[in-house]
Amino acid sequence: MISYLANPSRYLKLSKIVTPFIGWATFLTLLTALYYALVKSPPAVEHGQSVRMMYTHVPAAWCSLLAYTCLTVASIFSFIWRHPLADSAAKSIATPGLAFTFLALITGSLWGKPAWGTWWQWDGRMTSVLILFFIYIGYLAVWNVVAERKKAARLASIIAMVGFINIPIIKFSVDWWNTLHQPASISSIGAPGLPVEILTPLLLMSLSYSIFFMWLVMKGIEKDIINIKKRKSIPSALTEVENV
Amino acid sequence: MIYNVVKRDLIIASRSGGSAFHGLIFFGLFISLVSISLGGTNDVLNPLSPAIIWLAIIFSTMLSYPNIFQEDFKDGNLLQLKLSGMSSLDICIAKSVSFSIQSIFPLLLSVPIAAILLNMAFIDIKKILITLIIATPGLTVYGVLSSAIMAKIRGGTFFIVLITSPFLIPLLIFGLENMNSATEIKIFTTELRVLIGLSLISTAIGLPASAAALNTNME
Repeated sequence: MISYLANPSRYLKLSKIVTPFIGWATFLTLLTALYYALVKSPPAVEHGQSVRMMYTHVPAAWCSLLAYTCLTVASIFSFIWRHPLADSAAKSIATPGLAFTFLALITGSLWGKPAWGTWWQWDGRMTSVLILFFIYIGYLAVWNVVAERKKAARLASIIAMVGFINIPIIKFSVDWWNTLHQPASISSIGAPGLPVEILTPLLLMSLSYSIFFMWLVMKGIEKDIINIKKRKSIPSALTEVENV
Repeated sequence: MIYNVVKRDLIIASRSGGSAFHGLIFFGLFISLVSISLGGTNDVLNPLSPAIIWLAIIFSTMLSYPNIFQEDFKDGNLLQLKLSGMSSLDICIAKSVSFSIQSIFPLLLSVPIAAILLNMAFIDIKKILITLIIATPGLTVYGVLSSAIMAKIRGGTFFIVLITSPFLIPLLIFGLENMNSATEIKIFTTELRVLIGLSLISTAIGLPASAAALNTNME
């Protein structure tokens, strides 16, 4: 099925139908999740109302890692099989990934002020997310700087793969260095961690974030393919000038 | 073949009329600027001195990263090497060796002098030299990788620094942690072992990746 969809024009046809559905699904899940997060869930015992920040913070952090994983998978496809669709996918995964990482940092900082009394602390998790942010920037910089699309895709995919191997190492070393962050609240399902009324909006929120991410990626790929087609329709002499 | 390329690089560096010393001069400048900005008293400087030296080393090697491939790429030497049957991996190995000899080795030699300027104890100088020598492969290989990726870009220095810095963070952390935990008797601490592992991993990942990047740029 993947090889069937790997044809850009076939993908474009499918995406025209599927993407709007995903967009509406985002809207609906986000609405439900927001209702649960803002209205139904009680303020937490320790954190008070500021606990609601968690419903934007935790899913954003999850999605930033999810996006990097997807980015690596797309990069592997693009590196080994040199597939143009995988290039578009990697490119349009990275931008939302960067945005989610940024959101995680910002909301974390906003939540940190009431919870810990500080905007920023150089602790293990925050630092590693900040480094992830820089890795995303480096990845996107390669795309922007290298003029030739095929080369840019290949070089960027090398960066993504090396980064994927390095992220756990960086995480481990930063944890070794300094840790203050509360340990992950949801490590195993059923463990006495979060009460249900807080867990429900959190999971709903992450579901809607993931669907939103999917929508952004599909839309991004669609736009990228259309851009390539437009560029191809320009007479070849012009594109050569552009490449130089 | 690898030996010949290394030899050629070193000869070129020795005839370049001082550009080989840029990293070294930067190293000295960085240390003096930091010392001046921190007030110059020994009680402040002494606990920070390993960090200052590590940062100075990292920044001055970063300054030399663009030299690894850019010149040879521009004048077509890399393509000639490739045409004469040398594999990209061999080119990368040769470049790593020549880079560590011509850029990192002089820095390591000047570390004791910098350490004296910062009033470090003799044992600390020994420790920092050991960690730096062990971290050298990591420092080199990630530079080779980012410089191979940016070989074609004019003025790619900023991007080389941007790409490399996240990968150097583990080396920096374990290099500095080792300073706290190592003692006169116990030299092979956990941190030092992790540092050896990091250097090995970076070589294993970095060399093939930079060979792939070089291939892409020469396609």
